[in-house]
Amino acid sequence: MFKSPLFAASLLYSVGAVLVCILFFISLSIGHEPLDVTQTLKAIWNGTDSVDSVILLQIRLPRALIALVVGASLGLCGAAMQGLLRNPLASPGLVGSSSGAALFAVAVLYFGFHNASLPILPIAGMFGALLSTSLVYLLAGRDASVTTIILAGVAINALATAIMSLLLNLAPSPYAVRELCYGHLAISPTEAWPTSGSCYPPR
Amino acid sequence: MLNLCAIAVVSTHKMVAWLTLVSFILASVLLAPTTHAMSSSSLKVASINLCTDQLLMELADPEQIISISNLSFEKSGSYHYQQAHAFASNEGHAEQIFILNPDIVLAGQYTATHTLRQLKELGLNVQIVPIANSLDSMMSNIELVANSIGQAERGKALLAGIKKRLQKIEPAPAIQPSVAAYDPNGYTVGNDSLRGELMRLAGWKNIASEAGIDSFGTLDLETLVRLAPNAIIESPYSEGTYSRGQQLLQHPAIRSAGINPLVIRMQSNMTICAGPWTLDVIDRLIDARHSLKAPQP
Repeated sequence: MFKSPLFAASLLYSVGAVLVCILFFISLSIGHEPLDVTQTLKAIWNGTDSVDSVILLQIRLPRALIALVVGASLGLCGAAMQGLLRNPLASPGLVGSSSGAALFAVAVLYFGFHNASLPILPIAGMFGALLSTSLVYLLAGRDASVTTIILAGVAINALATAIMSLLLNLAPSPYAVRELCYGHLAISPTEAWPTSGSCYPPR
Repeated sequence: MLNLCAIAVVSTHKMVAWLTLVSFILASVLLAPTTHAMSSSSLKVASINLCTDQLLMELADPEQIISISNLSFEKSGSYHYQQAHAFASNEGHAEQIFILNPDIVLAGQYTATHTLRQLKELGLNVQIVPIANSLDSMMSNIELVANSIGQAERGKALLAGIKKRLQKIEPAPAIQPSVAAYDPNGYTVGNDSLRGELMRLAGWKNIASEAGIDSFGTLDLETLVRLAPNAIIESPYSEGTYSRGQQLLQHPAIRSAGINPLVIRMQSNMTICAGPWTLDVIDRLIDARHSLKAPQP
């Protein structure tokens, strides 16, 4: 159908990029308060400060950028996993790295180990991902088949999720269990520049 | 000789017994008027709800209280947490209360219904005290508790004091600064709530009504930024614990230029239950209003 694989790839990427841009703009216009995004962007461009600009720049833009960066990283990890496991269904969730990261992030956040001056939260998340992935490889053993790795991943994934639920139930905060019910990985309005700055690539 | 000795022993025993009896009678005669004046009621009361515990400690004689709920020992929710240590605690289980055989059991509106049913079936006199959603209901609760524990006079005295303090509250200013109660996860109160009434009495304008909230609801972060109150009332129930819901108030958007409200911190044990301390909340809110440099309309 397509003249060359290069053409197909560039078509795919450009359509994907356009879609991401459209969704990013839609994400900016979704919120509790009605807000004209283009008008507000014009006002920000002209240097006028308003409540709308605060809502757009401080609440919605960080949220949209986090979704963008996290989505891109997940896509990248998925591609790496699919290559490694030679399975088009593989994802970081499968080998337990994402739940390991979530477990360590929960342990840091809900038990008050996070520190405003040190990016302990993302470091703990990365460490958790590394640890759970190493555990999967340890469990699967050397020269393991793809199926063994996937099964080991499912086991570690279940274990990490269970410990995370336990931790959230034991957390001293009365709001922790509610947040467990509402999903740990959802992006909430709590996300903002300073706390999540480290989820972006280093500048 | 032996007999004599025996008689002597018996007589000294008798004498000791007599002396004890006489001293008891004397003591009771001497002490009776004072204890009578202090304790106008001999009703034994057990309470299984944090807020009825508070009113009980406020109104009853210490010897009347045979048990209070374990929540009353925690500083975060209990205003009289220091006083609470003098009393025995319960976890609100029916059998714990039944074994104490109290004359009255004080319970809250939302105490587990099966516990209440069980207590009533066991023949205990259960007094349910409703949640105070206004100063009026707070005062009727005080009256209710005072009457049911046999301390009607003390209740009347307490209410008279409260009414006197309410009359002394300075009138609200013409231009009222705006305020919002902002709890974890964005929970807030409207005008038809106790805290809403306190804000109004202290001369503040509650912005929750502008967001369409009458009694209770959540205020979205964007709405809070849009309404930009002059002050936010924070009443952290669980200080020193962490969750994403509790981080909401740290969001930098609230601190942006043109918004940056004054944060009024109120101990949660003054806002969870209503009682005489509720008037101190009004005073603090008035002080906070005075501390605003230039209240904006």
